[in-house]
Amino acid sequence: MQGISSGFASAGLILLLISGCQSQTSEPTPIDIQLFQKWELQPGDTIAGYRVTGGLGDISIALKGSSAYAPFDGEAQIDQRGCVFFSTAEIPAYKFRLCGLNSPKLGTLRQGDPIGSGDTLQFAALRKQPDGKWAIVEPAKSILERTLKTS
Amino acid sequence: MTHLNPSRRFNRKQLLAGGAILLSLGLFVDLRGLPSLGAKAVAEPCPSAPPSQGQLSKQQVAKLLTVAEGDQKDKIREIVREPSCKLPNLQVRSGSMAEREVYTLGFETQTWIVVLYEGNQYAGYKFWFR
Repeated sequence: MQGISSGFASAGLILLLISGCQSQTSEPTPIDIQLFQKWELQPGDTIAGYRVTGGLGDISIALKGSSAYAPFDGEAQIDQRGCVFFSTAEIPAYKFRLCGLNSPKLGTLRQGDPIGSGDTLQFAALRKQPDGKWAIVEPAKSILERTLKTS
Repeated sequence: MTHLNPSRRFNRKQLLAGGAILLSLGLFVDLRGLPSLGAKAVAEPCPSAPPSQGQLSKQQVAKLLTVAEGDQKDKIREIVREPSCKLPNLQVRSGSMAEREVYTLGFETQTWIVVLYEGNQYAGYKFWFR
Protein backbone atom coordinates (compact mmCIF):
# COMPACT_ATOMS: atom_id res chain seq x y z
CA MET A 1 0.00 0.00 0.00
CA GLN A 2 2.81 2.30 0.97
CA GLY A 3 4.52 1.46 -2.33
CA ILE A 4 1.40 2.41 -4.31
CA SER A 5 0.93 5.75 -2.51
CA SER A 6 4.59 6.65 -2.94
CA GLY A 7 4.22 5.76 -6.63
CA PHE A 8 1.27 8.17 -6.94
CA ALA A 9 3.27 10.82 -5.10
CA SER A 10 6.16 10.39 -7.55
CA ALA A 11 3.83 10.56 -10.55
CA GLY A 12 2.20 13.70 -9.12
CA LEU A 13 5.60 15.28 -8.59
CA ILE A 14 6.61 14.49 -12.19
CA LEU A 15 3.33 15.98 -13.50
CA LEU A 16 3.88 19.08 -11.39
CA LEU A 17 7.39 19.45 -12.75
CA ILE A 18 6.18 19.01 -16.34
CA SER A 19 3.35 21.55 -15.94
CA GLY A 20 5.78 23.91 -14.21
CA CYS A 21 8.16 23.68 -17.16
CA GLN A 22 5.34 24.25 -19.64
CA SER A 23 4.10 27.38 -17.89
CA GLN A 24 7.65 28.75 -17.86
CA THR A 25 8.25 28.24 -21.57
CA SER A 26 4.97 29.91 -22.68
CA GLU A 27 6.09 33.35 -21.39
CA PRO A 28 9.06 34.84 -23.29
CA THR A 29 11.91 35.76 -20.99
CA PRO A 30 12.62 39.53 -21.07
CA ILE A 31 16.04 40.39 -22.45
CA ASP A 32 18.50 42.63 -20.68
CA ILE A 33 20.24 45.07 -23.03
CA GLN A 34 23.14 47.01 -21.54
CA LEU A 35 23.25 50.49 -23.02
CA PHE A 36 26.58 52.18 -23.72
CA GLN A 37 25.20 55.58 -22.76
CA LYS A 38 24.65 56.06 -19.06
CA TRP A 39 21.68 58.39 -19.02
CA GLU A 40 19.68 58.77 -15.83
CA LEU A 41 16.23 58.41 -17.38
CA GLN A 42 15.15 55.83 -19.91
CA PRO A 43 11.79 54.80 -21.36
CA GLY A 44 9.88 52.85 -18.74
CA ASP A 45 11.29 54.78 -15.76
CA THR A 46 9.08 56.88 -13.48
CA ILE A 47 9.64 60.50 -12.50
CA ALA A 48 7.45 62.45 -10.05
CA GLY A 49 4.78 59.80 -10.46
CA TYR A 50 4.76 59.96 -14.26
CA ARG A 51 6.01 57.27 -16.60
CA VAL A 52 8.89 58.18 -18.92
CA THR A 53 7.86 57.17 -22.45
CA GLY A 54 10.96 58.28 -24.38
CA GLY A 55 14.54 59.29 -23.76
CA LEU A 56 17.57 60.90 -25.36
CA GLY A 57 18.23 59.22 -28.71
CA ASP A 58 14.64 58.17 -29.37
CA ILE A 59 12.80 59.40 -32.46
CA SER A 60 9.15 59.99 -31.58
CA ILE A 61 6.63 59.07 -34.25
CA ALA A 62 2.95 60.01 -33.96
CA LEU A 63 1.49 56.61 -34.89
CA LYS A 64 -2.01 57.61 -33.72
CA GLY A 65 -3.03 53.98 -33.33
CA SER A 66 -1.35 52.66 -36.46
CA SER A 67 1.08 49.74 -36.49
CA ALA A 68 4.85 49.46 -36.67
CA TYR A 69 6.09 46.63 -38.89
CA ALA A 70 9.06 44.29 -38.98
CA PRO A 71 11.54 46.04 -41.32
CA PHE A 72 13.19 42.69 -42.24
CA ASP A 73 12.74 39.00 -41.49
CA GLY A 74 13.88 38.77 -37.90
CA GLU A 75 13.04 38.36 -34.25
CA ALA A 76 11.26 40.60 -31.74
CA GLN A 77 12.07 40.37 -28.04
CA ILE A 78 10.86 42.42 -25.08
CA ASP A 79 12.72 43.86 -22.11
CA GLN A 80 11.52 44.47 -18.57
CA ARG A 81 10.57 48.06 -19.42
CA GLY A 82 8.15 46.80 -22.10
CA CYS A 83 10.22 47.97 -25.08
CA VAL A 84 10.58 45.70 -28.11
CA PHE A 85 14.04 44.92 -29.49
CA PHE A 86 14.05 43.83 -33.13
CA SER A 87 17.08 42.10 -34.62
CA THR A 88 17.68 40.50 -37.99
CA ALA A 89 20.32 38.21 -39.47
CA GLU A 90 20.45 40.64 -42.40
CA ILE A 91 21.97 43.40 -40.24
CA PRO A 92 24.59 42.14 -37.81
CA ALA A 93 25.74 44.46 -35.01
CA TYR A 94 22.45 46.36 -34.86
CA LYS A 95 19.18 46.17 -32.94
CA PHE A 96 16.19 48.46 -33.18
CA ARG A 97 14.32 49.49 -30.03
CA LEU A 98 10.59 50.22 -30.28
CA CYS A 99 8.89 51.59 -27.17
CA GLY A 100 5.24 52.57 -26.78
CA LEU A 101 3.64 49.62 -28.61
CA ASN A 102 0.59 47.90 -27.10
CA SER A 103 0.51 44.08 -26.95
CA PRO A 104 3.54 43.62 -29.23
CA LYS A 105 3.97 40.46 -31.24
CA LEU A 106 7.15 38.70 -30.20
CA GLY A 107 9.27 35.92 -31.65
CA THR A 108 10.09 35.22 -35.28
CA LEU A 109 8.58 37.74 -37.70
CA ARG A 110 8.57 38.11 -41.48
CA GLN A 111 9.26 41.46 -43.11
CA GLY A 112 6.06 43.51 -43.06
CA ASP A 113 4.48 41.66 -40.15
CA PRO A 114 2.92 44.10 -37.66
CA ILE A 115 4.89 44.27 -34.40
CA GLY A 116 2.29 46.32 -32.55
CA SER A 117 0.35 49.56 -32.57
CA GLY A 118 0.30 52.59 -30.32
CA ASP A 119 -0.25 56.33 -30.02
CA THR A 120 3.42 57.32 -30.10
CA LEU A 121 6.32 55.12 -31.17
CA GLN A 122 9.73 55.82 -29.64
CA PHE A 123 12.27 54.40 -32.08
CA ALA A 124 16.01 53.99 -31.45
CA ALA A 125 18.79 52.25 -33.36
CA LEU A 126 21.43 50.47 -31.30
CA ARG A 127 24.90 49.49 -32.49
CA LYS A 128 26.98 46.85 -30.74
CA GLN A 129 30.20 48.05 -29.14
CA PRO A 130 33.42 46.05 -28.64
CA ASP A 131 32.63 45.72 -24.90
CA GLY A 132 29.27 44.06 -25.66
CA LYS A 133 27.18 47.13 -24.76
CA TRP A 134 24.79 48.77 -27.20
CA ALA A 135 25.21 52.42 -28.23
CA ILE A 136 22.23 54.48 -29.37
CA VAL A 137 22.99 55.88 -32.85
CA GLU A 138 21.04 58.00 -35.30
CA PRO A 139 18.95 55.69 -37.51
CA ALA A 140 18.86 56.15 -41.27
CA LYS A 141 15.52 57.35 -42.62
CA SER A 142 15.21 54.23 -44.82
CA ILE A 143 15.11 51.97 -41.74
CA LEU A 144 12.36 54.09 -40.18
CA GLU A 145 10.39 54.04 -43.44
CA ARG A 146 10.59 50.25 -43.57
CA THR A 147 9.34 50.11 -39.96
CA LEU A 148 6.37 52.37 -40.66
CA LYS A 149 5.18 50.77 -43.93
CA THR A 150 4.15 47.20 -44.66
CA SER A 151 6.54 46.87 -47.61
CA MET B 1 56.18 28.15 0.01
CA THR B 2 54.90 30.14 -2.94
CA HIS B 3 51.35 30.21 -4.32
CA LEU B 4 50.74 30.97 -7.93
CA ASN B 5 48.09 33.58 -8.72
CA PRO B 6 45.56 31.71 -10.99
CA SER B 7 45.14 34.75 -13.25
CA ARG B 8 48.88 34.73 -14.00
CA ARG B 9 49.09 31.04 -14.89
CA PHE B 10 47.90 31.76 -18.44
CA ASN B 11 48.96 34.55 -20.72
CA ARG B 12 46.56 36.37 -23.07
CA LYS B 13 47.45 34.24 -26.11
CA GLN B 14 46.83 31.01 -24.22
CA LEU B 15 43.46 32.29 -23.02
CA LEU B 16 42.49 33.32 -26.58
CA ALA B 17 43.54 29.90 -27.92
CA GLY B 18 41.50 28.22 -25.20
CA GLY B 19 38.50 30.38 -26.12
CA ALA B 20 38.85 29.45 -29.79
CA ILE B 21 38.94 25.73 -28.91
CA LEU B 22 35.82 26.09 -26.77
CA LEU B 23 34.06 27.92 -29.61
CA SER B 24 34.99 25.12 -32.03
CA LEU B 25 33.52 22.57 -29.63
CA GLY B 26 30.37 24.66 -29.30
CA LEU B 27 30.00 24.79 -33.07
CA PHE B 28 30.54 21.06 -33.29
CA VAL B 29 27.84 20.27 -30.74
CA ASP B 30 25.11 22.54 -32.09
CA LEU B 31 25.38 25.94 -33.72
CA ARG B 32 21.94 26.97 -32.58
CA GLY B 33 22.78 26.35 -28.95
CA LEU B 34 25.23 29.26 -28.75
CA PRO B 35 23.77 32.22 -26.85
CA SER B 36 24.88 34.95 -29.28
CA LEU B 37 23.03 33.49 -32.24
CA GLY B 38 20.14 35.75 -32.81
CA ALA B 39 17.41 36.13 -35.35
CA LYS B 40 16.22 33.41 -37.67
CA ALA B 41 15.54 34.14 -41.29
CA VAL B 42 13.65 31.87 -43.63
CA ALA B 43 15.01 32.62 -47.09
CA GLU B 44 18.43 31.71 -48.49
CA PRO B 45 20.79 34.70 -48.65
CA CYS B 46 22.80 33.66 -51.74
CA PRO B 47 20.44 31.69 -54.02
CA SER B 48 22.59 32.00 -57.14
CA ALA B 49 26.06 31.46 -55.63
CA PRO B 50 28.01 28.25 -56.41
CA PRO B 51 27.88 25.97 -53.31
CA SER B 52 31.66 25.90 -52.85
CA GLN B 53 32.12 29.67 -53.07
CA GLY B 54 32.76 31.41 -49.75
CA GLN B 55 32.60 28.16 -47.80
CA LEU B 56 34.12 28.28 -44.32
CA SER B 57 35.56 25.48 -42.20
CA LYS B 58 34.95 25.16 -38.45
CA GLN B 59 38.45 26.45 -37.80
CA GLN B 60 37.81 29.56 -39.91
CA VAL B 61 34.51 30.25 -38.13
CA ALA B 62 36.14 29.78 -34.72
CA LYS B 63 38.87 32.28 -35.69
CA LEU B 64 36.33 34.71 -37.16
CA LEU B 65 34.37 34.78 -33.90
CA THR B 66 37.46 35.89 -31.98
CA VAL B 67 37.86 39.10 -34.01
CA ALA B 68 36.72 42.06 -31.93
CA GLU B 69 34.01 44.39 -33.20
CA GLY B 70 35.67 47.61 -34.31
CA ASP B 71 38.79 45.91 -35.70
CA GLN B 72 40.04 46.63 -39.21
CA LYS B 73 38.45 44.81 -42.15
CA ASP B 74 41.90 43.31 -42.93
CA LYS B 75 41.67 41.17 -39.79
CA ILE B 76 38.68 39.37 -41.29
CA ARG B 77 40.34 39.17 -44.71
CA GLU B 78 43.29 37.34 -43.12
CA ILE B 79 40.89 34.57 -42.07
CA VAL B 80 38.38 34.39 -44.93
CA ARG B 81 38.62 35.11 -48.64
CA GLU B 82 35.85 35.80 -51.16
CA PRO B 83 32.31 35.59 -49.74
CA SER B 84 29.49 33.50 -51.21
CA CYS B 85 27.71 36.73 -52.05
CA LYS B 86 27.25 40.32 -50.99
CA LEU B 87 23.95 41.73 -49.80
CA PRO B 88 23.01 45.16 -51.18
CA ASN B 89 24.72 48.03 -49.37
CA LEU B 90 22.44 49.58 -46.80
CA GLN B 91 22.38 52.69 -44.67
CA VAL B 92 21.44 51.57 -41.17
CA ARG B 93 22.62 54.64 -39.30
CA SER B 94 22.66 58.09 -40.70
CA GLY B 95 25.82 59.03 -42.62
CA SER B 96 27.32 55.52 -42.78
CA MET B 97 26.95 52.87 -45.47
CA ALA B 98 26.93 49.24 -44.31
CA GLU B 99 28.57 46.61 -46.50
CA ARG B 100 27.39 43.03 -45.89
CA GLU B 101 29.11 39.82 -46.96
CA VAL B 102 27.73 36.31 -46.62
CA TYR B 103 29.70 33.09 -46.12
CA THR B 104 28.46 29.51 -46.32
CA LEU B 105 29.33 27.02 -43.60
CA GLY B 106 30.85 23.87 -45.09
CA PHE B 107 29.74 21.79 -42.10
CA GLU B 108 26.18 23.17 -41.71
CA THR B 109 24.54 23.58 -45.09
CA GLN B 110 21.43 25.40 -43.88
CA THR B 111 23.37 28.08 -42.01
CA TRP B 112 25.23 31.15 -43.24
CA ILE B 113 27.23 33.84 -41.51
CA VAL B 114 26.68 37.50 -42.38
CA VAL B 115 29.52 39.94 -41.73
CA LEU B 116 28.90 43.69 -41.62
CA TYR B 117 31.47 46.40 -42.30
CA GLU B 118 31.19 50.17 -42.10
CA GLY B 119 34.00 51.80 -44.04
CA ASN B 120 37.14 49.88 -43.18
CA GLN B 121 35.77 48.75 -39.84
CA TYR B 122 34.38 45.32 -38.99
CA ALA B 123 31.12 45.89 -37.07
CA GLY B 124 29.97 42.34 -36.30
CA TYR B 125 28.52 39.07 -37.50
CA LYS B 126 25.26 37.19 -37.24
CA PHE B 127 24.23 33.65 -38.14
CA TRP B 128 21.47 33.24 -40.70
CA PHE B 129 19.42 30.03 -40.41
CA ARG B 130 17.06 28.68 -42.97
